[in-house]
Amino acid sequence: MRNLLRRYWRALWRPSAYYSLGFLTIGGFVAGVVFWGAFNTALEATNTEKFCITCHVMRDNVYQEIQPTIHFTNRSGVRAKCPDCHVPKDWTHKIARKMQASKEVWGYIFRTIHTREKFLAKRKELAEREWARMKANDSLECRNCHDLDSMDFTRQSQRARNEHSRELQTGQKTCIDCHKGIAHRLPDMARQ
Amino acid sequence: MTEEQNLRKTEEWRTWVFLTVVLAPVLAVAIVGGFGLVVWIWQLFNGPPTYH
Repeated sequence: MRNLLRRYWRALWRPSAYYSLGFLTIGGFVAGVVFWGAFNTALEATNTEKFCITCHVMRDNVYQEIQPTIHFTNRSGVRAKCPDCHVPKDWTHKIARKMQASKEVWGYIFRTIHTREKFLAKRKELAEREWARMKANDSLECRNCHDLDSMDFTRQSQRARNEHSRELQTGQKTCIDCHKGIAHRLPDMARQ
Repeated sequence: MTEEQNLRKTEEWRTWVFLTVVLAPVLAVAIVGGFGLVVWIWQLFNGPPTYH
């Protein structure tokens, strides 16, 4: 066994006697391309709504709640899917978010929010985490679709027009400051 | 080819396959994952990511 390891260790560092530089370089390059393609395919596969709702906690709670809202059903048929709002598009932060999801796998395995009751008990904490995130990035995920410069205030209600021109346009407030609980139900805010 | 040469060729092939199919992909995933972990830890201390 020791002898075998020593032989392979030597083969690892010694120039190849039987395989050409061309084969080794092109072969390594092609393998790299295939790997990167597979990596991104896997990354995108975990970034779909279909993947999110394979977990019953998502399917039975938040996915049910979004369906009657305008972000799911509306006259034009444009709709938001889970990652549009919940996964950053920027690569670095997307990878960081994917690593954070390991905590969700943990929760899945140990059934942290396995029942409706457990989910409701934890909901305020989870919602507040998302609100803090969206507040910090100036509601980036909202703004990916909703562009302030393209908003026609004259077609908004009086109240919306007032708030948008006074608070949003001046940068004093960001979307999530007012628009909480619009795609999923609000947590019980009295709960600690 | 002699017995020894044959053995060496087999070893070189197996080493190459191990490097390209196992070691390099595992290392790449570990490095990207480790990077994500570092960013996550950074965010724990410095708050969620800002863009503006």
